[in-house]
Order: sequence, then structure tokens, then C-alpha cells
Amino acid sequence: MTKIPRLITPERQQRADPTGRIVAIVGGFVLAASAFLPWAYSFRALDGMTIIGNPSPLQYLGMVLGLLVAGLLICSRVVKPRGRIRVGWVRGAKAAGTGALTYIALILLSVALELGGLINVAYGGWIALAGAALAFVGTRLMIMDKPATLSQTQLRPTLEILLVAVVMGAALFATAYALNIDDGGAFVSFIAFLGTFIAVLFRVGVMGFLSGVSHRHRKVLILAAFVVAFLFPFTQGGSDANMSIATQVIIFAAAAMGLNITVGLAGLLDLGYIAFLGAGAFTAAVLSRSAFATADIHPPFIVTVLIAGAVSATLGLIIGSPTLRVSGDYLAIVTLAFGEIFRITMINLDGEAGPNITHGSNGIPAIPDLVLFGFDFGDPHVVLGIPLGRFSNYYFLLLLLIAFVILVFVRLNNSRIGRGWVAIREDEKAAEAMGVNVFGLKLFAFASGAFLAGVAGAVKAHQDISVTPDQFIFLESAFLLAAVVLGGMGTVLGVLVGATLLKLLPEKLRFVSDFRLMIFALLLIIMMRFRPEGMIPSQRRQLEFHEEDQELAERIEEEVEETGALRGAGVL
Amino acid sequence: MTTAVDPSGVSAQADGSPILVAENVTMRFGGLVAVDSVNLNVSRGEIMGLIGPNGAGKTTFFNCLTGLYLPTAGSVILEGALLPPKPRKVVIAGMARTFQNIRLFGNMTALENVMVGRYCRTNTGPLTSIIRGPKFHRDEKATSARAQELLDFVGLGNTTDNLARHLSYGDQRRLEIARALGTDPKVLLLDEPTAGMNPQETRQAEELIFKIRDQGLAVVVIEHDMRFIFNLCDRVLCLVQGRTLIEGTPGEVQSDPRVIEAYIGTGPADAAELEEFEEEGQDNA
Amino acid sequence: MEANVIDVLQQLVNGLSLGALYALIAVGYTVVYGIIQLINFAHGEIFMIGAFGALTAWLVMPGDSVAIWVLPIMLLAGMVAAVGVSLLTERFAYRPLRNAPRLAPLITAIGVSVFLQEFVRLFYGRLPGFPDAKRAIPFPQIEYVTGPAIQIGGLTIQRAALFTLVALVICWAFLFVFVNRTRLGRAMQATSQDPDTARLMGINVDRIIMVAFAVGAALAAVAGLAWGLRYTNIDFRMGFLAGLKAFTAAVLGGIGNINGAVVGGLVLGVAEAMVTLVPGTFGGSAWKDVWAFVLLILVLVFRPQGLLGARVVDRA
Repeated sequence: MTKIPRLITPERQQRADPTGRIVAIVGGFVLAASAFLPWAYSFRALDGMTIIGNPSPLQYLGMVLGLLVAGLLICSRVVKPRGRIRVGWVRGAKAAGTGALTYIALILLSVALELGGLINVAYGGWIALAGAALAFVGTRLMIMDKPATLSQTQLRPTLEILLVAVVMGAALFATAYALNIDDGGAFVSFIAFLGTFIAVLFRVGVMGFLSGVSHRHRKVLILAAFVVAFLFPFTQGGSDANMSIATQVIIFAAAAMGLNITVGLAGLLDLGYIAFLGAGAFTAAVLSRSAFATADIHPPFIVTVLIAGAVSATLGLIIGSPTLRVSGDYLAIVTLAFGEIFRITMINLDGEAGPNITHGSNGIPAIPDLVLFGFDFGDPHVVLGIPLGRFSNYYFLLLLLIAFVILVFVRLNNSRIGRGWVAIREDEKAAEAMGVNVFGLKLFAFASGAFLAGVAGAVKAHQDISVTPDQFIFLESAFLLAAVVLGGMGTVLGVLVGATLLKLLPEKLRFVSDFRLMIFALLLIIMMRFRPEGMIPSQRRQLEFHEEDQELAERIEEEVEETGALRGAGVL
Repeated sequence: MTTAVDPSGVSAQADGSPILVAENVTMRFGGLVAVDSVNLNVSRGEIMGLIGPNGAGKTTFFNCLTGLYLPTAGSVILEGALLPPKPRKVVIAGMARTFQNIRLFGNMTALENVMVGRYCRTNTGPLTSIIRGPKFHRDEKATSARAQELLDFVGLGNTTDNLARHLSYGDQRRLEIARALGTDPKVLLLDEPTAGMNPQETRQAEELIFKIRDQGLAVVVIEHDMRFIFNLCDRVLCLVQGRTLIEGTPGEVQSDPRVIEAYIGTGPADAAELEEFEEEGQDNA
Repeated sequence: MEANVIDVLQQLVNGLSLGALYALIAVGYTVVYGIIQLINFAHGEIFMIGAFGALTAWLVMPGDSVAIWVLPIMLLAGMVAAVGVSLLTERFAYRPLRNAPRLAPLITAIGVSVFLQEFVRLFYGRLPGFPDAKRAIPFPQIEYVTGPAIQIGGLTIQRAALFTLVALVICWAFLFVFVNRTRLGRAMQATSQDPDTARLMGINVDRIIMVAFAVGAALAAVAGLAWGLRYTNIDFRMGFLAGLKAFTAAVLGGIGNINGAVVGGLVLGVAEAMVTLVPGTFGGSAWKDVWAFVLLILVLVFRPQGLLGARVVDRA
């Protein structure tokens, strides 16, 4: 990686350290204070930052960042270190400083874009910028302290679980808040704030502590996560709008998780994965009770789901068998070609160019809602006084689906099969020479991913009501791949976050919808350049992508000795 | 655990019955004949040395034995059965190897590396892994216990959680051996196991190979360190330019003038090496 | 509809001209893959940019002349555009990832491909006086190389198709001389065999890789111009399917093998054209793309090294 020439050398830092600290603390307080001043001259910008003495939510967040910088630096001087426990005060402050500057810059930029020019930024906004800039420069001048070592600290179990519950509640609140932001600029700024806050938590060591806690109480926490997810529809006050987006996100995430087995675990590049989703969807559509369904049999949904999965898996076997024997690069092209074959075939099965199975480019519309055990998914229900609409019904089913996919993923990963996959990624020929069934494992990964996609597709057909060939274009495969690769290959949380962001951002950033794809492309290029392992990678992937990074390898090895296994291989 | 190395179905004694037979193995790459009608005959509990100058075709021969290359002619017979030229089937039949340039799984721990070696001797399938019944937990426990046992056997018992890429060179070579032993082989092929080792490490390697032999395995070793070979091996095969030059006991081989010439040449600058070579011969005679 | 000899010959001609297009693009894929084992997904977009470059030259020139002397200017402009963009992508997107695991450059290539498509779609029309690229743009029909088709026997040969074939032959000849008779060409061969040794022999491997990208781009530009002449319009999406088919052709002929790319392209073009003669379901023009890809899969099963043999060194 190219290094930017060092303006700030270690010697200069030594001398400048005390000054930097003071400058940064001052900057932090200035930023915090500026929250009470107007940042824009019009109420229309972002979330209304025009009133003196009454900060808007975004301004409060700015204040939080300012206080973070100041507070962390004050603590670094005031709080005495205890034993081997190290808190990353200064590191956290540096992250907060950088983040604060980014945050304020984004806000001012949004104001300018939304109101037509920087002239519309009020004096409070400029003071905020000045404070953030001071904080940034000040922290840059300081010497970096050693990494935090909070991952070994332990508190009473009940206290730990309580802490994590608090964090989860905060996360849920933040998600709900983010979903309800309408203004594009406000949304981006909020994400920047979240990113900064999380980075600070990482640097200070809180994240290390939390991941230690979550590792110790893993089962409880996963259960809690699902309870929280289950309760989500009840917080919507009867509105089904967000649930519609949520169901799209979960289907996408479930498909991405299936792809995570193929790409993330076995390292196979599948560029036509959307075809497997489509095969499942069309199978379910054809077997449904739609007026346009072309088959005369209508098995119960459970059976349809299995058939859909089997159809996709069979396609996977057909494509995989010849291709997985030869070089991995060929697989990329063949799967891409297969994706196109699938789409064209679906268009051609319209009764003219081929037998009428799919009604060609019109597809199969009017797929009726699922009715499982007498429960009609199309009917709104009232539970505990809160009305739950159609999408909420599908949401619960999808939670089950994604729970299943995640279960399969995690359990396969931490098994003899998972080890085989890692060996294949490391050195395929050596693995073969040690008796690992390389071809068999690759084929299994490929077909399993296909099976899960087929299952997801079957549910998608009923939820979307209609299935058409142009829902399954290459770009969708690219998005799914991006969710896995950018989110973090081989981890559950990484792919979930990646899928959520990729599905959610286009919805929220409608004001740049024309530039959507270009931003996506740039994101791919930049991420592969600077963080190819993704946002939340497994430790093993981090090692693989940064072969020369000795520090990283030693740090991870320390953790392995603590916990007995390479963490990050499964859940976090 | 009873024996550290448990070659299933093979009794732990050097009973002299042939276990690995290579007949007229030939390997041609286009016009170049890398291996030319080489015969090999190794018995249970025997340590066979394979020597020859660089480029003599030793590693190529190993690759032919283990199915990495499909020999142009000839056959390889393990325990009376003809071996199919697929590396995986060769391993399952009972022949494992290490590599000239170490090919460990660098980003896996030492324990995990050996556990991969156990892959072909276990059968925990996908359904078992997903359902996680008692069989799964039994299998996993057995695999990691056996892997730890093998690590202890080669002397790496305290490197369990170290990443393979962090181990010292000598330790990495031993880990490769442990991983190969994980496949429960009857014949072990070692490709230059002491390359880059200092005398102390070399002696430890020698002891380890004796220990392996004592478990009833047959071992074939490619090496350049003459003293090591002559101390270790029961018989030695010398290859030059792909062809067998001579095969016999260490004493026979090292006193053969053709071997000395093949290795050392007859120029004046090599006189010192020639002396050393003859001295070693007298040590071992 | 029964096919007779004339129909078959007609499709043969059509197939050869289509195949020539594939061949020109395929060389770019094969040369780059042969040296750095990268499937340059964005190469299809380089082909598209070559076409847009040629179009731009014509739009910039005063008057709307379609005289023949305009053609070389358009060709040059197309090449400059294609080579320029290709070199930029090599320098800034691919070179930093030279030693990364294979997945990273592949994903980057996908990103570059989408980026180039979107860039043209969004910004081409914003240049003053330029048509909006969100729809297909008509391509100037230059005299002599377009116009009334030539009739020989019962066969109809489009002039642009003839142009494409002639262009392929000329390019192939240049390529042959370049790779086999010049120092630079031999350096390219050496680098694709063993870059480390080539470096030790004093060859500037970075520069060779740039040359490979440039050569591929230049040929793709020729193909872009030919496409515009033949199909009378161009649009920002033209690179996707053509690129995919061209890579299929490269694999078909033997990846890393330049002659293989040419042969593969021609074979693929002819095969695609012949399929349109097959009557009934699963035949005809609706299914030709499917059969093209089925051919790819069959080749991989039965002859993975391609028709003429691959020329890639196994780096394992």
C-alpha cells in the first residue's frame, strides 16, 4: 500500500504532543458548544438546524463527537492505568477527531447541496467546522498509544449481559431512527456518525471487551438478537412501509448468506448466483395457484420449497461438475455465462421460441399469498393491540428462513468440511495431497449455495407476487457478490451488514439514484484496494489478504491462544 | 493412547515384506526424459534413501509415486494393489508425503494443519455437521485428540495454537511430517526433510524418522546430506539424470566411484569435498 | 423452413464477420490473461469506449462528412480513447493489486466495468453538443465501407462485414510480426512464461504489461468502429454481451494463445450464425446466445486447454 509522505514525524510528535492535546480538547469543546448555534439559514436543510439554543438531533450528535474527543483526552491524563488493563484513550480520540471532521464536513456539504451553495451555512456551522478541524489537527499531533487490551477483562456475568443488552437496545434504536430519516444528507451524515462512534469504540477497546463478552455468552446473545429482531415489527406502530423494505433486505441477506458459503468459505467465484435464486422463484411460481401458473400440480408450500431448492441445486451440480475441475478463473466466466443462459431461457420459454413454462418476458404474475396451516400471509392481523400487515407476516417467515441459513452456514464452517474448505483456500494442491476431497468439497459448496438460493427464491416469489426474468439480471449477482465481499467474507455479521447496507442505501439515498451504480462501482474498486477482506472479516481472511502484515498476525495469534480457536471463523 | 502412529491394519514390526514397489516408472515431458525406468522396492519397517545430484529426477519420481504426475510408463504398487494416479486415492491407500518447499496451510494453527491430515480418515458429513448430534462431537473430539497426539509425537506439543507461518523453519518441517502422519500412512515419503537445518535439528529429525520406522512404517527419504542418509537408511538408491545408478546398502553406495563422480565431479576444486566424502564413508563402514 | 446450401453459405459469411469482431476483442482478453492471469472484465467496456471515441472524432469534425478519409481519423481517435482508458485502469485499478489474492483484482475489474458503463451513460451527453448516451446513438455510415450490400451468387455480403474481416486479417498480420519479430513482442512472450526471470533479464515487466493492455485495447477499438459501421448504432451497454462472448472465444481457442483467440472468435461466430438455421424450438436466433455458452461449457469439459492449446504457465 502506498504511503503518504510523513509530514508528521515521530520526533515532531514528541514535541507537539502536549500542545496537540490542548488544541484537541479545546476543539472538542468548541464543537460541542457550537451545537447550540444555528448551522444553516433555512429549516429545510437536513433536520432543521436553525434555532439558537435548541439543537437538532444531528447537532446533538455533533456535540457528542466533540465531547468524546475532549472527554477521552481528559481521561487519558486523569484516569490512572490499572494493572495490565490498557484503555485506548488517545487512539479513540484520534478516531473521534477524524470522524468529527468528516461528519461536520458532510453536514455542511449537504446543507450546501440542499440549499444551493455554502453561503447558506450559518456561522454556527463554520464554528463547528473550526472546532472539528482543531480536534482533528490536535489529535494528529499526538503520539499514538498502545492498543487497548480490554478483551481480557471480565465483569460479573449478569452485568456483562446487561451491558450487551444496552448496546443491542441502542443499536435497535439507531436502526429505527436511521430507517425513519427521510433526508438524504441527514441519512449519510448519520451513517458517518455511526461509523465514527463504532470506530471510536473499537479504538478505545470497548469493542474488544464486548466481543470478549459476546464470545463468553454467545448462545444467550444470539437468542437475544433474534428476540430483538422478532420484536421489530411491533415497533412500527402499525405501519407496513418499513416492513416492506425489511423483507426485501432479509431475502437479499439470506441469498447473500448462501453465496457466502460458495464465495466466503470455499473461495469459489460465482457470478451467476442470481440464476439460482431465479430458478427457485420460477419453480415456486409455476407450482403456485396463480392463474398464470403453467403446471397443474400445486403441492403444499413446504414441498414446493424443497423442490425449488432441489431444482437450483441440480442446476448447480450441472454447472459445477465440469467447471470446478478446471481453474477457478473459468468458474467466474462460466457462472456469468450461465446467469445469462438462465435469463434468456426464461424469456424464451414463452410458447413460441420454446414450450410455455414461464410466459416469456411477462413472467408469472398474480401469485397468491402463502397459506400455511390456515394462516393467510396476506391478511393483516392484530397482535397485542398492534396491527401487523402483510409484510410483517412475511417478515416472520423470513426470520425463520435466515435463521436456518445462518445455522447451516455456521455449523458447516466449524466442522471437518469447513476445515477442508480453508485448506483448499490456502493451498489446493497440498490439500489434495493430504487426502482432502477438493473437487467434492467445491461441488458441495457450490450446490449448497444454490440450494439455499432456491429456497430463498421460493419465498421471494410469494412475497413479490410476480416473477419476471428481468428481476434476475447480472447486476443483481454483482450486488449479492458485493454484499459478501464488501461485508466480510466468511462471517455472518459481515454479510448481514453488507447486505443491509447495499439494499438499504439505495432506498434512502434517492436523491443520488441516478449515480447509484457508479457509486457502487467506485465502492467496489476502493474497497478492494484498501480493505479487500471486507468490513467485518473473519480473522483468517484478514490474514490471507494481508500476508505481509506481521503485527496483525501476531495480534491474532495472541487472541487464538486466549480463546482456543481462530475466532471470526463463524459468527463475529 | 497406545501407539502414537497407528497404521491401521499393519502390524508394528519390520517383517521385511515389500510394501511399495515401483516398476519401470518413466516420466517424459515432451522430449525430456526426467525419470527413466526406475525401479524401487521398499519393505515394511525399512528406511530407504534416495540420493542424486540436483536435477536427477528425485522429486519428479516422488510426484510419479504419489499421483501428482501421471507416469508416461510403469506402475506403482502399494501392498500388492496398483495405485491409481490421483493424489487423493494414493493417500487413502496409505502413502503420504512432505514437500521440498514446505507447503503448510500458513494461516491455520499447527493443530488445525494436522487435523486436515485426518480428513481422509474421518467421515463427518454435512448432515452430521449441521445436526450436531453425539456422533459429531465424538468425531471432533477424536480428531483433535489424535492431532494433538501427533504433535506431541513429533515434538511440537506446545505449538498447538500457533499459526503455522510463525513456526521456525525446523518446526515447520516437523509439522509437515505430523500432518502427513495424520493420514495414517503405511509408507511415508519425505522430500529433503533436513534442508536448511543445523546439525542439532538434523539429529532430531533422524531420531524422529527412527521413531516413525519403529511404528512399522516404511520411509523413503530424499536428501543431500550424506552423513544423514548413511546414518539413517537401510538401503540407498542413487539416481543420476533420471536413471538408477546404483542401489544397495549405504556402504556399497558411497564407496562406488561413479556416485562420487556424479556428485562431486573430478575437478581440483572439488578435492576437499571428495576428501570429506571419503571420510564420511570411513566413519560409516 | 428448410435450410439449403445458399442459406448455409450465407450464415457462414455472417458468422465469419461476427466472429471477426469477437476475435478482435478476444485478443485483448487472452493477452492480458496470459501475462497476469487476470480476466479483465472491463475489456468489453474498452471495446465500447473505442466505438465512442470514433464517434466523438466524427462529431467533433466540422461538417458531417462521411467521406472515406474520415475513417482513419475515427479509427485513430477510437484507439487513442480505448488505449488511454485501458492504461489508466491498469495503472490505478489493477497494478496496486498485482500480488493480491485472485479475488481482489477480479472484483475490481467488475467495478471498473460498471464504472465505465455508467460514466459513459451519465456524462457523455453532458459534453456540449454531444448526444445523450442513455439511448443508442446512431453511428456515422462512412462511404465505401457501408452502403448497399455486395451480391455474389445468391449471397448478400454487407460491406461493413467485409471491412471487419479485412481489418482482422490486417491486425492479425501486424500482431504476428509484432509478437514474433520485434524485441518488445519477444519480451512479452518471455514475461508471460516467467515474469520473475524476465525481470532478471532486464525486461521492464510493468512496461510489458502496459503494452499488453494497449495492444488489446487498440484491437478492441478496431472492433468498436467495425461494430458501429455494421450495426449502425452504438450504446453504452454494447460491451457486456460482446465481451462475454469474446472471452468465451478466447477460452475456446486456448487462453493465452493469440492465434487461439482469433480462431476461437471465428469458430464462435460461425457456430452462432449456424444455430439460427436450426428450425423449431431451441433453435433460431432466440437461442443462439444460449448455444454459444453451452459450447463454452462443452469445451471446458472435453478440452479445457482449448482448440489450439492454452499458453498459460501454471503458477501453483
